[in-house]
Amino acid sequence: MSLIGPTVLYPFITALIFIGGARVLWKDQWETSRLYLVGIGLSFGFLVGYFAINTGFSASRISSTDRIFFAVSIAGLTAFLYHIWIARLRRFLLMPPATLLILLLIIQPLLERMPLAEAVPVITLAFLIWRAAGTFLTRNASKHTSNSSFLAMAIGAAIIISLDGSLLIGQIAGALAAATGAWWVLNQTQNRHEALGKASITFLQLILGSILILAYFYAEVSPIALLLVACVPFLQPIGEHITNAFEITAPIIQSSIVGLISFIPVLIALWLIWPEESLY
Amino acid sequence: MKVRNILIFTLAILFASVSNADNFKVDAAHSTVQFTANHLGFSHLIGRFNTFSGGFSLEKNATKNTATVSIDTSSVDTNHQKRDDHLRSPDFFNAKEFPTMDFKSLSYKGNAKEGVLTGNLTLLGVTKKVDFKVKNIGEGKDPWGGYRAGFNATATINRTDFGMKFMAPTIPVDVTINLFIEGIKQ
Repeated sequence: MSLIGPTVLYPFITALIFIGGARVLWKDQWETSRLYLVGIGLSFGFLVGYFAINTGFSASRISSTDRIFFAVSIAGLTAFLYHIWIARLRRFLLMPPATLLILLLIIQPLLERMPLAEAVPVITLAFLIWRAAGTFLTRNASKHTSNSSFLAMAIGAAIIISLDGSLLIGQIAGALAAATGAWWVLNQTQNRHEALGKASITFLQLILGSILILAYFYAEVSPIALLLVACVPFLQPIGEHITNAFEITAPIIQSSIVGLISFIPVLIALWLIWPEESLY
Repeated sequence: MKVRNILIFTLAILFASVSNADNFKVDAAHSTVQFTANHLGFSHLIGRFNTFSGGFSLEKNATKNTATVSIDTSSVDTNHQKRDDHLRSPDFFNAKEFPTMDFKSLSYKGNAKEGVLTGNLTLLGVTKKVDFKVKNIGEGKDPWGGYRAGFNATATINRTDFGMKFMAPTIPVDVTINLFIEGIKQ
């Protein structure tokens, strides 16, 4: 319970109350505002989970894991500014600087400690995977099944990192998964199913990518296992093909099947890193 | 300029002769830094750090004794590779981000044989005062003409005070640090 509460329950319940409440309160504006409100709800849920996991920040000075907290705060704030600033230019004025700021926030300590010969290929590879998976997810972002695919990736990251390197970083990924899970569950309770949206996917993908890099560098999690987790979104169309082939149209079943099929690379990674014995 | 240099040099010699301190450098080959933690109430798990450095000074007035130790946290060794990898991760020592654990003494209460050495211990970027119970094990000339002194220092810390909160209290929070330090007089 001491692990499940902060990692799963608190972020899940917070995001559920925030997004569910926003949907009721701003019923009339939901169509135009939902993408930002969902973004704020996910960020808020994650931040509550982070604080509960870490009982505040980790050390007297801000550590690399604490930077994830600030990265998500920037993402949440950006979503909030989107919400209150109704101008067509907002996308160009907010998204690129916020993305750049998050990237710098995460990469800066790595560049300080990682030898350049290691840092350049690792960060370039991570960025390329992030771009490829991000482009792939955003291309499919209008489909509600993209939520299942992202959720599978976040759950997979949480399990793999927890078992192979650092429970702390794994829990942080778990809090992100739990907050996203709240939106996934809420989505199943309404008739019209909605996607996470391009902006949310971009930020969530960036945050999860940062967590994967942290896990590689600070906790020495198997890079092959992490690559397998990063490949999860590419299985989304396979899941859709299967549901279409079997003419499964019920959204909840379609979402669940896509999520389960997307989870296959995680199962392979799990098989690779499964611990032989208890360490403690 | 020359006069100033001569003055500084003279003052340095004067101060050196006044302090009466014997400075020792830690001989890592004959020293051990251990830690002990309870394992589920059944037994004790003992680990050690293989890389460390430091020094101490012994004064005629023992209350002026000082000591410093710097421990490489990535050298943690509990005789289990996978566990050691985990201990280096952000769950415990976060060795890549905080590569050393440092101790710098502030005061000493006691005599030349035993006493309590109080100092600042910095772990995970957090600095807290810690009291080490110190015992002199032996002191004297070695077979190679050098002069050595050896001490045992013990303290118990609460790891959560330093932000090491992983699975507390399931994995016990109290950790006993035990140092066997041998120094060579410089």
